[in-house]
Amino acid sequence: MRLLFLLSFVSTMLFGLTSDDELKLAIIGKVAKFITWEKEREYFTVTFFNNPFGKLPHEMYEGKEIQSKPVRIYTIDNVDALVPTHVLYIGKATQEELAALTRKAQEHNILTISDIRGFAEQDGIVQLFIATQKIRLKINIDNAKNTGIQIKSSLLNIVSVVRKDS
Amino acid sequence: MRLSLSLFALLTLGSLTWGDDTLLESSLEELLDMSTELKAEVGSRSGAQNFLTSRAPVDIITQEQIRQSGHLTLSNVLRYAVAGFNAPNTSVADGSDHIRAFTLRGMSPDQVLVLIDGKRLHTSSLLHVNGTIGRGASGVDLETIPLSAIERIEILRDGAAAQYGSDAISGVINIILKGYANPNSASLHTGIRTRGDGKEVMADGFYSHALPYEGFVNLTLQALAQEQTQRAGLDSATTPPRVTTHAGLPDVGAVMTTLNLQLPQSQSLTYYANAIASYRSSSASAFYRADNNLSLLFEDGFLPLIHASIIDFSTTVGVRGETPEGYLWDISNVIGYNTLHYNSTNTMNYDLNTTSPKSFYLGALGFLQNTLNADLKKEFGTLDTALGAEYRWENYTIGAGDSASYTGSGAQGFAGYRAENATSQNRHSIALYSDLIAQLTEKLSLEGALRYEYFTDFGSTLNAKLSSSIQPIDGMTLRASASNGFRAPSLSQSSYSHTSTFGGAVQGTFTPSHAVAQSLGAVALRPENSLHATLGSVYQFSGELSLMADYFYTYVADRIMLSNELGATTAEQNSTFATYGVSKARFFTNAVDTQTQGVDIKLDFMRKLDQNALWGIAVWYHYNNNSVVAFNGANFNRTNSFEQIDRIENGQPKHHLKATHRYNLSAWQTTLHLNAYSSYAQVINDVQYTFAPSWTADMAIAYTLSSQLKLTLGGENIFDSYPSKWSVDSINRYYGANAIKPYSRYSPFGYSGAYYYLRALWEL
Repeated sequence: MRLLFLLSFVSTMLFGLTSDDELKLAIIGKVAKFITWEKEREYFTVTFFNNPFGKLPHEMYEGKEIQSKPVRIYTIDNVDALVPTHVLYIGKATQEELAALTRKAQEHNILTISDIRGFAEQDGIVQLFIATQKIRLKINIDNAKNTGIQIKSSLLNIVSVVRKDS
Repeated sequence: MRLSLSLFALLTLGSLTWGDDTLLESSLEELLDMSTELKAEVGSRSGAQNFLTSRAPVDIITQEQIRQSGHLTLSNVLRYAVAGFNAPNTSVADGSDHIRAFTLRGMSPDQVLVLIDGKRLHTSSLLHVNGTIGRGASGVDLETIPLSAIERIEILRDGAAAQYGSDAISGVINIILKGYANPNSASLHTGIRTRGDGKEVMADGFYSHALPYEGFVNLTLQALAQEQTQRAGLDSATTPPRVTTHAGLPDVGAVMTTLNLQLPQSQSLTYYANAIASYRSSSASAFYRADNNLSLLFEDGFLPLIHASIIDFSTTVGVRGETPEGYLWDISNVIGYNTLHYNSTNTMNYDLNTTSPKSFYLGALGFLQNTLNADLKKEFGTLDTALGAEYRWENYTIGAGDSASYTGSGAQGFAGYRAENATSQNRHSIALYSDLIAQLTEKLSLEGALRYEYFTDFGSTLNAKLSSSIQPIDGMTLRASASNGFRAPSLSQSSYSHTSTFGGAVQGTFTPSHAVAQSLGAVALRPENSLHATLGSVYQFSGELSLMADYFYTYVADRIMLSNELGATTAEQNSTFATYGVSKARFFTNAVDTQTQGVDIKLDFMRKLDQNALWGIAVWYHYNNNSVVAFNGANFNRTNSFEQIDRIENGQPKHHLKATHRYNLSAWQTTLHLNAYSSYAQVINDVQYTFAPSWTADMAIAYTLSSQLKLTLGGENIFDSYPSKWSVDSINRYYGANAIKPYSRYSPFGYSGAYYYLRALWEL
């Protein structure tokens, strides 16, 4: 009986721990605060291509605001389904999908974020990577410029900046 | 009731950590400063796993912990950080003074597999043949890897032969080299013992050059000089008694370097390579020779000095990629080599009388290993599959010393390897393995591994492992595994011989295939076979507090040991002995079955406080009980091999407790670390002597002068603890509280006393 009580007590007080996924999602939201888009939209929309985070994006951002706008989360798994959005997070993607997604993002003023290796050196804008047990950011400012996205200098001061030809 | 109260206290502590639901309210700078999950590659082929939810117990030692330890060598870092890891410092033990034996869970040094970035690392060429912990085994030489090249160390506390093959019995140590985006650094370290000896100076540098696609070229260089310590007692063979022999840490000079590179060619193709190379020169002594009647070249006795030159390298080259269909593939080749050259000085060969040289080349040991791997992985929804093949070639050599070193009774202190001891032996093995990981539900995973391996010297093995983890409630993981395993007899065990002449007759170590050994019952060595089971649980009360408890059980059948020196007792043996002019012989044999069981209990707590302060407590209790449960043949039993059996059962502390308290405030960082060891015993002349439990304390205070420079003042064993001495004054001239060696060579923390150091670290 005592054990049951203890177990039930444990189960009620244990709670979700900060996982790498949660940390990445939180960073995605924070990065957006340093970005200025050309196009105004009613909602702040984040689209996940091949969403690797499961239900987490909805759970974390439900009822939340970014840039004083209610957040809307969308998940897609084919390139054609991509519609204009503030942020496109790309999970797993083939080279062809990556090329098509980043091309579409440039056309529609979309901030692209991914943790795919070499993302920022290719056509992506913000890349997440882990080094020395911390999440780090690489930002390609040329790709951002080509997409019509402005990035505040305060963000560029704390990330690695890469150029198109680097 | 007491248990309930303890749990309640723990839970209350857990509840204090509530309130970390502020990720979205944190600034970007704060988020980028948060540590990611500690993940380990070891123990599963499905990629890195959070060590708190893994199917088998895994520990991770981070770069930060390595630095906080204040230690300069890997075996000392592991001794500092891992309860149940033992690496005694020995002296007057020939090669074992220069290449330290280490054990996990009180088992043998060759029952631990060491990997570099997941690839097998070769063992040293040294076979421990003196009466030290690890006698009869060749383990990995951990002092060859510069610490500043290491990103983290992963320790799998479970049998894993079904995944990695031979040696993965008491555990697997996976050393991960620094990769992309590590800062360039340089450090200087100097320290001294409170008795004024044992000075150390170390300088190291790490340089990283980033390449596109997270590629990198990393270079590390470390140089280390360690002066000997002297803790010997009086030698009753001199009049009046005086200190004649060296007992303590050896004189060491070492240079180590690593190169680690990754050259991504595209998103789906990466070339990689690493190289680790080291040279170490080490000097220690044998016992003092006081017999002036024989020492014609030395009027007043002499102390033979034994010098070891150790060259070690390991080179990995590989390529990995991903096919458009999502198959991950990896092909790699690892070449590892270790050689140990012995010299002696200040000695003589009595049989050469006044014509004897005073210095000798004693010969060399060498071990070369080449491992070729091909791996394929594919994810099918919730099913991870892996297939692989491995080809390994090994070569073990003994090179003879100069003839004066082994003529007659040979050089005093260490007779050289004779021409008939010289050998070069090869072995091939081929393995096929598979791994299947099923995520049955979000909270339940199951892994099965199977490995078939064929060795040219003893045949084939088939090993399997089943492991599972379940999260019945958030924050709690229950895990269990069961497996069988094996350890192939090392080439050194099957082909080592070292003989010398004493009183006109040959004696020493013979290979199991030698007629003399076979007359005593030796047969070709078989593999050691093992059975393993672990059962454990992890509780994460918050992101700040975790509690881990694991039970383990290992049964090893046919453990290979070096016999005592045996004489001929039958007519047939007398005849064989006479043929070869032998008086006594020892050899390796599958001697005994052992059983090991115990527990690991770990508690980790870390909290960020106001004013940028950090408070952490880590406690790790380890218990192991090793026992010999069966004997194979008549050469080993509790009566005729009491010393050897007792070394396995009681030679190392069964209980080990570590506690670390960490408090960082602004630019200041403090660490207090306690080690407690239970008693252990050593047998001399078939009498068991017990040494009292002991504890030591380490402390470090670091101050960050600028974003680039940190100074650390630290002390190891700050209260200058010494292990207890022998319980009698003098067992003989060599051992006893008032003899040459006042302390047991089994002491888990040596016997050199307190050490203080100052370190400067530049990080760019």
